[in-house]
Amino acid sequence: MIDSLNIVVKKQLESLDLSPRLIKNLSEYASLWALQLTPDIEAELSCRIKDKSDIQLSLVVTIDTRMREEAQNSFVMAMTQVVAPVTLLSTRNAVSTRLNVSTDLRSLNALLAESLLLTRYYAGPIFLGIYELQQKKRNLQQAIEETLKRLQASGQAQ
Amino acid sequence: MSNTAAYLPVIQTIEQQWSSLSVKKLTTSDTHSSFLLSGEQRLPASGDRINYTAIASHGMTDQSLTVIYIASIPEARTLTNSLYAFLLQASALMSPLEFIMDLQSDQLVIRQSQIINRQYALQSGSFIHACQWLIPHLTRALDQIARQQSSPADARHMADLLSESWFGELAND
Repeated sequence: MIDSLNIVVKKQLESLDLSPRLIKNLSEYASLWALQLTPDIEAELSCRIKDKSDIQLSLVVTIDTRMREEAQNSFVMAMTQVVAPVTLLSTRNAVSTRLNVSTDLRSLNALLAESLLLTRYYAGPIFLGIYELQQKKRNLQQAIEETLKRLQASGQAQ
Repeated sequence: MSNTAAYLPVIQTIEQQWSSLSVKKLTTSDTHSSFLLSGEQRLPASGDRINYTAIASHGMTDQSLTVIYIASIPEARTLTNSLYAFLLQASALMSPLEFIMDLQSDQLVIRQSQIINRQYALQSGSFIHACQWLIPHLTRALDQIARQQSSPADARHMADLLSESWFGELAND
């Protein structure tokens, strides 16, 4: 069953010029893909199919970080207030965005495209804010305020 | 299709599913851009009152909706770096759930967000079941972190242990 889903997913990702690469089939019903969201950012897409009416996708983008955990956690927790439906994750040396999609086969292409657009909208300003913090171009409060302004400018902050 | 017509079937489905799980005082409201369902439940063991909210709003296309479930626990907590570390580690491990602090009210929030196509058969009851199991364990862990003044590293380890228990619970279902 996953082979059929993989064909549909690969075709859609190729049509969006995302250079998809099947990392592996996790089971008869699940697979994991890598794709190039931008020239500098690779994303992971996990796909799970129960049947044609029940397909789950999860799109994750991660950047490595080198900053004080306290500042990273505070920045991410501030951003989580406004970025739903995207989830922001923060582990010791990385920050990720995660977006979950539930769909049927007929709407898969449309929702996959939407999830990619949404992820780009949020990941861009957030990762830029983290970069500015790491490079000490802004302090924590400035980075939070500036990132919120960027998110609102892109129309995505709630 | 009007905004209400777009969201109503989804909210009605969630309302039926939550009502069957003893979520009380279910009320709906709508704005121009989204539809809200609110309710509350007392956890039997602890007596904690949990406020639940479901929000359905337009996606980017006519085919999609954004659906967000929120459970908020009324007790206010002191925000520390260790608490942040615990919540962020738990969020990383327990997809699709997310654990955040509402920075305006200092309350713990469990959130689950997704985009769906309009015909998708939502199973929103799993979020209620998850909260019923997780909230007592979460509050115990957070109380322990505060009492022991755990370090962020220890707090992340406690989140690891909680997620193991959580997945063990899922496997037993």
